[in-house]
Formats: sequence, structure tokens, C-alpha cells
Amino acid sequence: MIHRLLATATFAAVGVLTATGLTAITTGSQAHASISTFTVQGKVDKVVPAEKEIYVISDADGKKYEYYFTKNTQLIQAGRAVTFDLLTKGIKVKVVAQRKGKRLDPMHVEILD
Amino acid sequence: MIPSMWRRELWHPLLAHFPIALLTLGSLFWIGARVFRRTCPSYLLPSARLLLGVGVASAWLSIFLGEQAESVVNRVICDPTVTQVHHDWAWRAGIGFSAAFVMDLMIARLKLLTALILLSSLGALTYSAHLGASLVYQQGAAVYHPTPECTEFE
Repeated sequence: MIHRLLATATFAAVGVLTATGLTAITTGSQAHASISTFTVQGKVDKVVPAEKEIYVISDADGKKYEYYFTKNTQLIQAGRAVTFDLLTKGIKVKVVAQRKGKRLDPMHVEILD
Repeated sequence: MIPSMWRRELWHPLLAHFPIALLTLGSLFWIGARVFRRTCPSYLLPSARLLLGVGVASAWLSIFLGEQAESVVNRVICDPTVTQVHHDWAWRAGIGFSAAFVMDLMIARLKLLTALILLSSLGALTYSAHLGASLVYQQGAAVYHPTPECTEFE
């Protein structure tokens, strides 16, 4: 009896997992090629100096955006170019990024504090 | 110039297939050993435990290497949000398999719960593996694209 119950539960669980997996796999989205700029103003939530990476929480929508600095990224404060080590958690920044698909390549990062 | 095969972002795909195979087989063996305990071979349960143990260890190593690869591929792929979701589901699978492995060894009477955790973790592992495949085959993550004339191979 216990075996039957366990076997039934196993098959039911496998069925549910398979259906869930197939649904997730078949709901892929179509890509649309687009290159545009995207500006976010907000607070730096995390800085990863080794990767030259920052996370910014937008004041406008509260979402967290991830940026990897490229060799073309300009970091400025009060109109002057500054170094990456000035970026710390909690400071206010304005990031103008080039949007490539869903990737955001920062072009200008301005420290507002 | 053809890039090296020992790039930082290639260690993760090198290892990631081990936990997928080990944990899938380990879970199926474990459930099989429990459901058909009177008729299954005596080595099935110890084999399942060995597979799950090695699978859990390789899963955490794979997650660590995936985090190393993430910062490289996120700079070039078109939808870096997929790596985050891939990472989240891998963590869920890792936690689930680790919990099931420890429960099996320490709280032997919770067999049904352990089986359900294994099955759920298998679902999480499958979805994470699917996202990993989509990163490679839809976005070309960690893949070198040869020049149109293939001159670097001459």
C-alpha cells in the first residue's frame, strides 16, 4: 500500500515537474535588434572593483541595474574625469548607457554627490 | 589569433555536466531503491548515495566557477538577465540536493519528504541546465566566433 502511494506520488511529481519545465522551455521570447541609450539616476548598491562592475538602484522605478565598465566608459564628477575607486556604495550617480538587447554598456557615469 | 581553451569562462561548462549527470542518476537510483526496495539490487542505494555526494560537491564547485564566468560573459551577451536566473535556479537545486543528501544520511525516516525534495531539485536542475544551454546556443556565451574568412585557423 505504502509502495503504491509512494509510486503514485513520484509519478505525479515527475508529471508536474515535466509540465512545468516544458512550459518554461517553450515560453522563449523573440529578440528584437535595437541600439539606444538608457539613462538611470539612483544610488550605487554594490561595487565590484575587480570586475569594474557596479549595481545601481534606480530612483525612478526602484529596479537594480548592473553595469560593467568598458574601455570607453567615462566616469566624471563635477565635470572632471575621476577614477573608479571613487565609486562607493550609497553614492548617487547618473548613468547613461547604450542599450544592446537587454545589456547596458555604460558610456557616461556621473557622480552626483 | 585563436583564443585559449583555458579561459576563465570555460571552466564552468567543463565541470557543469558532471553534477547534471551525477545528481540526475543519483536521484533516480535513490528513488528506485526506495520504491523497489525488495526487488532492487543491494548496491543501488549505496550507489545512489555516492552519486548524490559527489554530485552535490561538484554542483557547488560548478556554481562557484559559474560566478567566475558570469562577469566575463555578461559583458558580451545580449541578455545578461538570463545568467542571473540561471544562477538563482542553480542555487535552488544546490540547496535542495544538499538538504536531501544530509536528510537521507541523518533522518532516515523522512523518505517521502526526501524523495519530494530530490524531485523538486531535479526540476530546478533541469530548468537551470536549460537556461545554461540557452546562454550558449541562443546568445553564444563563452563562444569564440571565428572571422568570416577563418584566417586565424590557417
